[in-house]
Amino acid sequence: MILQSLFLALGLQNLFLAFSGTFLGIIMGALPGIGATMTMALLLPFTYWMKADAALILLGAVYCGCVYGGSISAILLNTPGTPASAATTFDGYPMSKKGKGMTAIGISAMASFVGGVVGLFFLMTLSPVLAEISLKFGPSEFFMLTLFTFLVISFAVVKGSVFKGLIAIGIGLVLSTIGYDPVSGGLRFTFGITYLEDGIKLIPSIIGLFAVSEAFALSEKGGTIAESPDVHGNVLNGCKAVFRYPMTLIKSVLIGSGIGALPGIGVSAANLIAYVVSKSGSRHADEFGEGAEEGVIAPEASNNAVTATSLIPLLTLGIPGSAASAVLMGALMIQGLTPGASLFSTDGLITYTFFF
Amino acid sequence: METTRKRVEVGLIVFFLITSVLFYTQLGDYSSIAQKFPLLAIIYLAVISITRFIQLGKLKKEENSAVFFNRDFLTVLILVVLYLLLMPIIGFFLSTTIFLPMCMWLLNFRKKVVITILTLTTVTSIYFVFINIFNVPVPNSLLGF
Repeated sequence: MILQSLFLALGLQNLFLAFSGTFLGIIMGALPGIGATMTMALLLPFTYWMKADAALILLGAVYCGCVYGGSISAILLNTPGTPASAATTFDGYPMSKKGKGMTAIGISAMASFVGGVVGLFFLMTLSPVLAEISLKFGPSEFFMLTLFTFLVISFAVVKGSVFKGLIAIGIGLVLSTIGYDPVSGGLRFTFGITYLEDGIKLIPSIIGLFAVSEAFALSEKGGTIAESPDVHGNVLNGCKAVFRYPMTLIKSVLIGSGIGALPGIGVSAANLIAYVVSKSGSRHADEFGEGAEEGVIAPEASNNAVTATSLIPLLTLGIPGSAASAVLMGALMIQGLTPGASLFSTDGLITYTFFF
Repeated sequence: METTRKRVEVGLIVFFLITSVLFYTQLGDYSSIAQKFPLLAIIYLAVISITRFIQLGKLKKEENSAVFFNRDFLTVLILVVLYLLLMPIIGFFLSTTIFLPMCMWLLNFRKKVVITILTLTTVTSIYFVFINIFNVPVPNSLLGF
């Protein structure tokens, strides 16, 4: 069945859909505020008339393309196209400022490729094992992991005083209370403004924090983003640079794969955790935040590993690991496929074609 | 406009404390369940902000570097505030059509043709992408356009 799936995946139509989906995903991912979920949701109606394997390949390619595309604007404009690339800005943008933007793009592409391939390997081989662990993840485990993310960001990412990071967490917590209360359903802190009723969503807040602050900084500095008039390095050098840091690459891919398999955490946390772990274990920790190559490898390798492994809880248990995989679950249902064991037995041909 | 890092941080802390107080005063209107999490978040923000305030008081002179806000930064800041205030009154399209050229002109970008093309392209593409394709509404003016 696996060999048959491989041949099906290499069919002309499926290859065309994979390439065009990736291309579209990269463009949409690079546009801040669009992201994988919205692009996939917009494409969903077009998959009604497609065969199940073709529909899943198109949506899967868009998903992976979007996550990679988000890093392009993160590196060149300091504005992550998707939350998955938030940590890429920490070192990707300083590299652009030094005139090494293309090298950073190369690093991002190769790290994403390695992350994606290894993640896919885990998806195919470890699905049942990781699915069992994710079943044991309850509210207290989610709470502890979120708390861990908060603390590592405060202690390891924020420069200067730890209190600056802790204040940032406080502001985030207060702002998250705006809108509908999830327990009672009542409105909180909207001050009569209709736009606040839905709360402050992740994407607008990320654009506000990264893009608007960058616009202010640029208006003050004047000139262009690159401080150096010469553009050093190229994409190929960036691709090679990834393999100079094998430990960073391996650690980040493993972090991404592990987090992806846990439902609900997703790419937003994986890239930050991988960045912090790489920084703490690096011999060049003081270069992080100033344009370190490892600082681009870590988030990019982890966020692409997540894209593959976040499908594990979806395909094995029917629990979406992220918002984008929830859209993919919609596509599965449209095609009459039920997430669970049947996807690996009766509908195995479609599932393995999608994997390839 | 020249100031110090300490003053900027103190200004921000005061803003966070005012926000905490403002949110706290609203809590009485909500049910006891809806009050719990915001109360914790508000207390946390206030306590951490006050701790940082005390820490800033002990800041050494050499750590208190000068911060300089130039004219361009203040111009853009004022324009953005005006843009946000005017948007609900005159609508997204009119406010953007005024904001973009003014911003570019005041930031010493004086190529009239390029400014016109950039403004029209931005407004038109936002209209087509968000309204025509995504069906996402943008703020209308009080006159309904």
